[in-house]
Amino acid sequence: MPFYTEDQSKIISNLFPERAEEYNQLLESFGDFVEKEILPTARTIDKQGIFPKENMDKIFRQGFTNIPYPQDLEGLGLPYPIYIACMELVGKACASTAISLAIHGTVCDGLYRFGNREQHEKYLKDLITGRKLAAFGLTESNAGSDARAMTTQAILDSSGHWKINGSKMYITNSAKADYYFVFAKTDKGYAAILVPNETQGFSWGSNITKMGLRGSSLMGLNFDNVLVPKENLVGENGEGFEYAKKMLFGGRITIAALSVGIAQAALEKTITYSKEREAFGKHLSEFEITRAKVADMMTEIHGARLMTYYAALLKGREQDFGIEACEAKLYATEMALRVCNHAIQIHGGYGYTDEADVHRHWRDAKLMTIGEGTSEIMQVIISGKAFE
Amino acid sequence: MVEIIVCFKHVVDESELKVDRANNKINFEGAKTKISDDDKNAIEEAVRLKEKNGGTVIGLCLGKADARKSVKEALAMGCDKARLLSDPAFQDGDAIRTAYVLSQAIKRIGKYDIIITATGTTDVYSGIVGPALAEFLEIPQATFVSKVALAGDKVTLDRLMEEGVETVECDLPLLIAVAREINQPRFPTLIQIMSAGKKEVVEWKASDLGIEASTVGKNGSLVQVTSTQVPKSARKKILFEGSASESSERLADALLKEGVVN
Ligand SMILES: Cc1cc2nc3c(=O)[nH]c(=O)nc-3n(C[C@H](O)[C@H](O)[C@H](O)COP(=O)(O)OP(=O)(O)OC[C@H]3O[C@@H](n4cnc5c(N)ncnc54)[C@H](O)[C@@H]3O)c2cc1C
Repeated sequence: MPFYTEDQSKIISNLFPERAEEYNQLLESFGDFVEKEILPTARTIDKQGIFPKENMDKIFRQGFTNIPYPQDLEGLGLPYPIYIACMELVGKACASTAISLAIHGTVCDGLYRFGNREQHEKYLKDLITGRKLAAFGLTESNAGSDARAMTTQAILDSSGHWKINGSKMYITNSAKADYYFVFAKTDKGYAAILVPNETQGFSWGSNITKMGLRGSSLMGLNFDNVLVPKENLVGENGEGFEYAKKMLFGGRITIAALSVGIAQAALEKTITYSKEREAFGKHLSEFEITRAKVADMMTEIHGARLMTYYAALLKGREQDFGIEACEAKLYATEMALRVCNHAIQIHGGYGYTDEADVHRHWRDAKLMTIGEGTSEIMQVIISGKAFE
Repeated sequence: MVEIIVCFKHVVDESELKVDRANNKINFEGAKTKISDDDKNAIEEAVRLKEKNGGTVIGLCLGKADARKSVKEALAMGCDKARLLSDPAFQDGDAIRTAYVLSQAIKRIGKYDIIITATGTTDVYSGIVGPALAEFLEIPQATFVSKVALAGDKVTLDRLMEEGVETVECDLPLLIAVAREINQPRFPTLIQIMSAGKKEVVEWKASDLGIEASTVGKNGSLVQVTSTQVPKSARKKILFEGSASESSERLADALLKEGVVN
């Protein structure tokens, strides 16, 4: 089976009939690269909790983050769904690598949309090309779903610096990132401020171990009278929370894509295994109950993929995409858990063991229903639309 | 500066082929296609030689119109331009006819220092095209090459032999048929794939190369492929019963008899 799936290729062909051949060749080639260079590392990265720096550098060199940005920013000027299709492929190969790239991508998106010309030149180009890595600092110990409850504070002092005090929790790419896109309370509400890693008073805790995505870095951040120049404010003072919301809407499409990739990996392992494993003198694949499960897995993956690529299409065309992104995230992430659950079940006792490397997908998928807004928060937002 | 021509073939992806169980035939319909794996090593070596010594790499591919996909990939990997030899008259030719058509195209290109091919292709692996091409061009050749070092007008080559490595020296121009071990082909980046579409690709037909249609392709070939079948590999499924020591002894005897162990 080609790594870039037939289902993906058909969707891309129909989203972009005029460029179908060109885009499919790009994606096929990217899939090939991911399969040969990234996939073989995934298991060790999970087992040993290795930060996937090498993988990320290789993927950056391929031009991955460049995909949706204009050429004057060293981007490739390709449609957003192409980026999303690539994100799915990376998620399928190694979710630890994909989550680190997804968060980096969310920061790029925010800096592109809300940053000014100088910030594009000074920071965004380096981030798009992967010369530098970014982190997204919103959550705090007492402010997760309710992010407005944050207490980290930034005050513009007389020397023309933002003075930041407080702390953040559960920040992906901590200690590895060069720039931290930090949200803080200010005199006018909230602000987004870019904090370089080597700023005095800025530090991080130790790595927080977790059930899945074990290669990704997760830490708390501390700000102790951190001073950054006032030019590091992104966009307007007072708009920070709006920026966070908009960035998360985009980020949710990447999380949905990553979840589809994880589910696809679990499905392919299941198909292979059920053709090999015998019970009662038959291959598992000959049992109707196995087949019904596989049919459900395929159908749900296809559905989630359509929702995800559609939300990506809207984002790329600069139409409203917030609700569609939340729906795609809610459906795709919960779907990935169901699919991975079936995958473990069809692998039997073997599926439960570390040897099988199937439960990794379930463990990785679980974060997707929590990060960048929990499933419940997706339900709050989506239902809010119904009752507005 | 070195002028390189690299030959590659657009083939069906053997790992994606399906077998029709009813008649034991391979079903080529809708099969995925690619550049023959070892030809990617040839392209990679050509591009590395260019990167190191300066010059140009021209990709040369004999195939049907759908080979354009492979041509684009070769350009993405670093070939500067390409010639696609495509004519219904070329179809179903044997290895010697393929080498002849390639030699005519190379004569038309004119200038070259090094021609690079793989030792064989993943679909038929005849191993004939490279050597035959060198004969048509009347230039020296080296096969199974695992290392190339260029210095002035001379190349030093390592040839991978069954029990060791043979090092030879040769003047330019020459033909090099590389072994798979020579390098690890690169994955072109997205931008390289995108810009490959802007590189020069010229299509040549038999008449462009001064080739009489009846002398090439199926008609001009001495070897005709009449059918392609999948070897039958039925399992014997012999069961040895009895106590562990008895049955293991009989298993050992059977393995010795079959020549599986000795
Ligand atoms: C691996 C990992 C990586 C992360 N990376 C980042 C990062 O890079 N940057 C960052 O800023 N954050 C990051 N986070 C934090 C993540 O976004 C939060 O954990 C998440 O938003 C949930 O917040 P919380 O943990 O405080 O849960 P809580 O908000 O305490 O939620 C607890 C439970 O209550 C439910 N709940 C809360 N409010 C409601 C409501 N109104 N209605 C119904 N149910 C509700 C939630 O859905 C959840 O089930 C990461 C977390 C993890 C685990």
